[in-house]
Parts: sequence; structure tokens; C-alpha cells
Amino acid sequence: MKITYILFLSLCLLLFPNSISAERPSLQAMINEAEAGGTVMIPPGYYEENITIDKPLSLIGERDVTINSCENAPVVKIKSEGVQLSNVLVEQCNEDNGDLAAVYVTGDQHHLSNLEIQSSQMGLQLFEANQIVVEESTIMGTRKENGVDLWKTNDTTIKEVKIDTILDGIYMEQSHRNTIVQNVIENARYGIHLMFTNDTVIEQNQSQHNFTGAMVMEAQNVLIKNNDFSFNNQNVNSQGLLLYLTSDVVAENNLFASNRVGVFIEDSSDAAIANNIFQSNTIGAQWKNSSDNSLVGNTFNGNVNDTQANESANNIIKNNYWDAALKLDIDGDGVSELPHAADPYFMALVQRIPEYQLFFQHPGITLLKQVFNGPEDELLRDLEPSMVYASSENGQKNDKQIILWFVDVVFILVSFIFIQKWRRSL
Amino acid sequence: MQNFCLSEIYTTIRQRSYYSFSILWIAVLTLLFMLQKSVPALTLYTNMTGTVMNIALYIIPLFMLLAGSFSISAEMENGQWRLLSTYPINTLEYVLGKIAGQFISQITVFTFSFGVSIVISLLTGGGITLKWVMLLYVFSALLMYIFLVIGFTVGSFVSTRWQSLSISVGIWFFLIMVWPIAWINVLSLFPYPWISPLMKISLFLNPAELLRVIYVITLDGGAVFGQPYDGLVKFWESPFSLFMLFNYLIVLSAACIFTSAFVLKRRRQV
Repeated sequence: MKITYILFLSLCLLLFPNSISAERPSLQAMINEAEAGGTVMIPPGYYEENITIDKPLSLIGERDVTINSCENAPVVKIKSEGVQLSNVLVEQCNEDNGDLAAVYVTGDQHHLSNLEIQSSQMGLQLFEANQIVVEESTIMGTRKENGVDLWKTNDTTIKEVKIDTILDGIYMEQSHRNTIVQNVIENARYGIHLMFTNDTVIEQNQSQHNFTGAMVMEAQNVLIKNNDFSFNNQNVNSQGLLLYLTSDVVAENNLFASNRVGVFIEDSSDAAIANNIFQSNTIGAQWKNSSDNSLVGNTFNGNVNDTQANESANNIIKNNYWDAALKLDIDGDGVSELPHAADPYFMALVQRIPEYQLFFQHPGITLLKQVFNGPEDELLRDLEPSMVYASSENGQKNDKQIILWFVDVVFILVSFIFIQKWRRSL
Repeated sequence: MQNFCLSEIYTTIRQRSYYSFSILWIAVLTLLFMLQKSVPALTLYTNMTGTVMNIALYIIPLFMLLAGSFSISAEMENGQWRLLSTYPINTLEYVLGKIAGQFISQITVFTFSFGVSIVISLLTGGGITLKWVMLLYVFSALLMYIFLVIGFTVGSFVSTRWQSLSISVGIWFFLIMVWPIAWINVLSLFPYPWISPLMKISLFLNPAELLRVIYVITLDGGAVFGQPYDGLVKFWESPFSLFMLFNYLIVLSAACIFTSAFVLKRRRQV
């Protein structure tokens, strides 16, 4: 027993020599000593403590700084205003208290950057805080609580944060005028989740492999632009973007690829869905009980079903590019003269038994389609389909043409030589 | 076996119909490349690549079934088979040699036509990508191979070319055209939990279906099959799947070839 204890101690000494060294002061003592407005450079090391910053201060890790705590309190608590925290690894290992955050922020005008947060509970909590900037950080969780949690927090920017394996990537409730830019969110329940939150800008984020890419609920005036919502298909209710009870949402130039549903619009009005790409989704865009929304200038490519609507009226659908549409442009204005209506037959087949989706685009299914017709009221019609797709991306074309020529010449020469040889040998 | 193979190649290449195949492939493939060119290629898998694949699926299996079954039934009709039967030939060698010879001649003319079609397509403005073209070529070659083998099995059962025509068309119509309808009808007899495993099994019962699904997955379009097939799609994206496909083709062709050789042996003894 004794030997094991000694061995364990010496192992600890070997592993964490810094934390045992007696002369080093605690982080909290360094913070307490510093004057308001000053800067504290944290020497490299492993700090096992909970700290509170309650005056304007810059707290910057020199390098390899880890702050760890399993106590029932936030590892780092920021109050007051104008606090800067940077270049620190924060570990929260409390397993019991679900409301606990690794970093808890309240007050105004704090700046958090280059943080690495690993939390068994919540990652970063912004509670009644304003004008906060969080950038270039990573948050790793255990899928139990949210990555970044905003409560009554306004005018805040969250930029270039990588969030992985959490409940909701960025959760915002009753928080207004916030900006979410260039974040990468993966393996979450909802990548970005807005509740009773207005005037939010969501731009250039990647939200992939989540149950839902972005969930916008009871929100107004939201701008969703240039994001990548892909592979959100892990759940029977998965979608790239969900709008629920929203008004005046603008979603433009986003990529919705390989989701169960690209965009799902429910009980919402005045949403403008423009110039997005819907690629390889099971359903591209779906409406339920929503009216006065518009779907203009989008590109629908390789979706199993492009659109579907239930109990929805007065939605404007025009100038979209449908790869499945028959297109005919007589007057050369870039708009096809033939209206496009999504064919609901396959949809109806697959909704009953999802396994039949394996027959998508099967040569025999075209036969079936002509025999049966789906319910007419679920048809969405684009009266002016576009001849050209909206996106500026065109990476696949015209690459490696020289290799193609080479392969081609080899094909022709080899086969030609063999045919000649066999003809002659008779 | 080598003699059977070479004589199959020589007789095939001497036929006029062989060169009409070339015209057929050039016409069809050029059309397919033109179609593919006319649409934006955001990813490899689009509605148009799906259509191109479907046209290949319509035409290649039918012609290969015919070529395979005619190869044997023509010899039955013109007396070549009776002549051969007077020699102590091994029917397995006979079948293997003929399949090899027929496949080599067919793939040669297909490769030639494929090359010419690419030239036409490149000269008229490109727009096709190397990866897509090569995948289409491999997909077509595998389709040609497996349906030739099935065609030979058909040929070993019949006595005239008319019979082999009607049976080949029947098989083609069942495996390509009515396959989904047939399966949906069959599966409606089973309880719901059986549908998912039976659908996965169904893939292995129809080589055209398996190749179609693998082709869509290699074009990064696996997501169109939806959530129930995520595991399947992941599997066919892994390198191990090539080994699996190889095994599948070996087992299927062995079954076809041995059946064919066995039936011919029985018929020779009569």
C-alpha cells in the first residue's frame, strides 16, 4: 500500500513538476496583486484552481498554460469589464453540475482569444454580458451541454471558434444584435440555436455532421449568409436550417449539401431564401404552414426531392435552377419557358418506407412514375425556372484536360493496334 | 483454352456486326458526353450523371447479354458445336476461353469507341472531367463483363438464336426495367422490419443494381440513398469494398461459368 502511494506520488512529480514547485504563486494571487488595467503574463504550467477576474485586466498565457478544476464552480469566471483572456487551455472536469461552464463571462467589453476549452459540462457561458468578442478558439465538450451559451447577451461577436462534440454549438436566448462568423461546428445536436433572439448575423460558418445545422426559433431579422450546412442527416428530424416561428429571415449564398432536409420552414413568414445551393439532400426545401416566403435564384442539384410543401400558400418560387427540370429557352433571356413542378411520386413512396430510397433515379422508377401520380396539392411550381445555376463555384470543369487527352490517345491506340493485329493474324 | 479464346476473338472481329457495335458505342457515348457537358458540374453526382448512368444501364447489359448468348447459340445453330463435340474437349475450358475471347473483343471495341467519343467531346469544348470519365469507363467495363458471363450461361441453355434473344431480353427487362417494381411488390408481402435487410440482400441478387449503387457512391452521391443506407455507403467508400466487389464478381462469374460448363457437358452427352 505504502509503496503504491510513493510510486503514485513520484509519478505525479514526474508528470506535473510545475504544479508541485512550491515557490510559484497561485494564479488567483497573481490576479489579485495586479492593478486594474494591467497585464498578467502567466508562466507555462499546469494550474489546478478556479480563478475569478473581477477588474479590467489582460491575462495572457505565455505558452502551455493549463488551468484545470473539477470543483463545482467555473474554472475561469470573468466579471467587471474590459477583461482580456488569451492563450490558455481551460479544463473543466466536474461531472455532476450540468449548469457549470468552464469559462463564465458576465459584464461588458471582454475579449477572449486563443482559448482552448475542454469541458465535461458547458464550454463558454456568456451571461448578461455585452459587446464581448470571442475569437480563434476551440471548444471541446462531451455532448452533454452547450459549447457557447448566450443568455441576455447583446452585441457580441463569436469568430473563428471550432466547436466539437457538444449539445448545441452556439446557443443564444434573448440575445440580440450578435454576430457569428467563420466558426466550425461539428457533432452537435444543433450547430447554431437561436431562441427569442433578434438581429443576428450568421456568416461563413461551417455546421456539419450535426442533427441540425442551424435552428432559428422565434427570431426576427436574421441574416444567414455564405454558410456551409452539410451532412446534417443523423436524425430522423435532421435538417440543414430550420426556421420555426420566424419572420424576416434572409438566407443567401449558403450551401446545403447532403442533409436530410436542406431548409425546413415551419410556421414562418417573410423568409427570403435566395441564391443558395441545394445539393444531394433528401429534400431540398420544405414548407409547413408557412406563407409569404420566397425561394428565388437557388440551385437545386441532385436532390432526391427538390421541394415539398404542406398547408402553405403565397410562397414565391421563381428563377431557381432545377437540374431535374426540362428546360427550354426560346427568347434567350436565361429563363426557361417551361414551368417546373417537383414530382411527388417518389417522395410519397419513400415517406412510407425510407428503405426504397435505394431506388432513387433507378432506370425502372421512371416507368413507375408514369403509372402513378402523387397528390397534386403538394406540388410546388416554379413558373420561371432559370437556365443557369446561380453559384460562382465551378471547380470540377476543365481540370486535368491534358491527362484526359493522354488517357484518350492511349485508349484509341491500344485498342486500334489490337484490332489490327487480330485482323491480320488470320 | 487459349485456342478457344483466340478463335473467339478472330471470329468476332471478322463479323460486320462487330464494327456496327463501334458505331453504336460512339453514337451513344458521344451523346452521353454531350449531355454531361451541358450541365454545370458542381459535384460529380448530379441528375445528369444519373441519367447518363441510366442510359448506360439500359444499353450495355442488353447488348452484352445478346453478344454472350449468341456466341454459343450461333455455334449450336451452324453445327460448329456438334463438330466440336466429336473432339474430347473440356466444356469448362470451352466456356472460359469463349468468355475471355468475347470480353476481350467487346472491351477493345468499346475502348476504341470510348476514346473516339472523348476526342469528339474534347474537340467540341470539353466540359467532362477525368475522374467522371474513368469511373464511367470502369462502370461500363464491369457491366459488360458481368452481363457477358450471364449471357454465356443463357446461351448454354438454348438451342437457337431466337430463344437466346427472347430469354436475354427477358432477363434484361427483369433486372433493369422492372427490378424496383418487382421488389416493392415482393417486399409488400413481408413485415416492415424485414424490408431493410431484404433491400440490402437484393443488392447482391442483381449485379446491375450493385454496380449502380457503387457507382453512385463513388461519384460522392451516396447521400441520395438516405439515412437507412449510411452504413452501406460508408462501407462502399472504404478501400476494403474493392476487395468485396472483386469477390462478388468472382463468385457470381464462377457460379455462371460452372453452370454453363455443366449444362454444355450434359448436352454434349445427349
